Amino acid sequence: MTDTRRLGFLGTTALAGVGMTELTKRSGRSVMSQAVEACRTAAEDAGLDLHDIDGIISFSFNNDSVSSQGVATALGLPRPRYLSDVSLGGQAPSFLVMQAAAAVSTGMARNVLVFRALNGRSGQRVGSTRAAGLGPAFRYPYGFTAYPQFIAMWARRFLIETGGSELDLGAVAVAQRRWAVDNERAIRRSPLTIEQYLESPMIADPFRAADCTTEADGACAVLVTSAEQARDLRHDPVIIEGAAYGTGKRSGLDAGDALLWPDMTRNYTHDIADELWGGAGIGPHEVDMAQLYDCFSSSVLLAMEGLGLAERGEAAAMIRAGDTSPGGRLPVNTNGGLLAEGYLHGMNTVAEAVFQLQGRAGTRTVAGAETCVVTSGALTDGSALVLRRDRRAA
Amino acid sequence: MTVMTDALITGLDPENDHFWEVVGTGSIPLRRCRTCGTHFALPLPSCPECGAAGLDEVIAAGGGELYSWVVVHYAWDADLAAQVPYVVGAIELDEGARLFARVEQVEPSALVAGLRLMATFPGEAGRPPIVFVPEVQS
Repeated sequence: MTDTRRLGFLGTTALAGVGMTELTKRSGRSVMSQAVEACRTAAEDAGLDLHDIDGIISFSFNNDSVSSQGVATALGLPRPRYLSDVSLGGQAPSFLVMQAAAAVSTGMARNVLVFRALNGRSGQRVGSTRAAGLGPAFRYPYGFTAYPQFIAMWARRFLIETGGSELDLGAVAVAQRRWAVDNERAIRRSPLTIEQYLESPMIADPFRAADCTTEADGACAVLVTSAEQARDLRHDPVIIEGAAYGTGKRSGLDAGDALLWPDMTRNYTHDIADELWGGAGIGPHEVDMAQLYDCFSSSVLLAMEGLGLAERGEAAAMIRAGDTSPGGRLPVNTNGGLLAEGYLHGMNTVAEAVFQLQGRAGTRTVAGAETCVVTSGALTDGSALVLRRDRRAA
Repeated sequence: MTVMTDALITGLDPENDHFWEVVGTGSIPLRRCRTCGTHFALPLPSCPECGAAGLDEVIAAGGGELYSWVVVHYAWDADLAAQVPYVVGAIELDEGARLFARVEQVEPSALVAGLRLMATFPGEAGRPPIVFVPEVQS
């Protein structure tokens, strides 16, 4: 793939700050309160005053969040110029960073917060909330009602076609927990053995509870600005070098609809990989780290293959060999992933990439890592970023 | 005959309602593209394969193969919790359209990709509208 589709904001826009609330199972707080805390913290983290913020973009699922306008109001922003609320799920975080970068690049805004906030455990739960619409009409009457079930359907077919087994799913959960034990934010922090994985109760065979994300209450925000400005801010800039959102033909009516999708062993990562790497100017074997959206264990395997980080059917073997674990050659989901840290709908997947590339991931920090690939989404559509650590101006 | 189970989602649009009305008579209505011949089950106004608007309704023969499946052990809804474990399959009909539906009369451990299945229509309250069962060998 040539650079003919190279996006105008690549190399000139950056992530500069992160804000994150505590992740809990019962926040006892409003979604608005958590959204505002995350956004305020992200601006401060970057070293910006609130009056420098002129854009906010967010996503929600079945109206489970608060509006960007509301957050701008609560923060007292003097002159918002870009406020947008997107009705999407896990495919959104990287896509919204792209939209923020496009807004910055075209002059629609200078400093844009991207946030996700939800009481995802104590309030409206994403994974089991019944959505409206035509797609659900073809699932719910059969007791096919929840995301663990929808994605388990993909996982089963993937294991059949790749000659894999439940141990392949378990390898993902076990490897990611090795990272989570060193992450003070993670909800699941105790070590996990493959034996313990196999004792985890079946939810939607082939998925056990240990294959499923940990639902959480909380909020996360990142600050997107120009690379030029980011070099004068508090932390090293994380430059957006590659980016893509996409899907293929017959994508379906909603994120759970795979009635028309021809191959349930290949998700959107397969469709966007060439554009992503082509824009970034590096290939999958040159990237130092990966933060891959993992609402369920199998999506890590599909993303590793789709992006070319692993050959067909080889992702689980790589994970079992320790390649993705602490000390491995391609660290993956270094916060323990959504499986262990908690489900902030993949906004925290982006946040971990920024923490890592800025050298702020505590004992988990991967020494010398300069580049990271991030994905958002598990099904027919989704988005991804390739990020690179730059240096602050002297 | 009208559609019966309370789990059905109707009233969204007339074409969706028509699908379930036909299912209520014991048939699966598919749409076939006049241009490229693709079959599909969703009541879309045009062909997802080629985009052409000319479609015919055809009745599926009822046979198909198991593409993938999930054995549901945990259900969030009280009415479904009483039914676990149950199997939901992704079934590729012989015409080429895929459906999600319940799969019964076969042990979960005996399920394999490619298993030949045939549609049945329970037509009772509280039962799924389409249930696939193993095809009887002739």
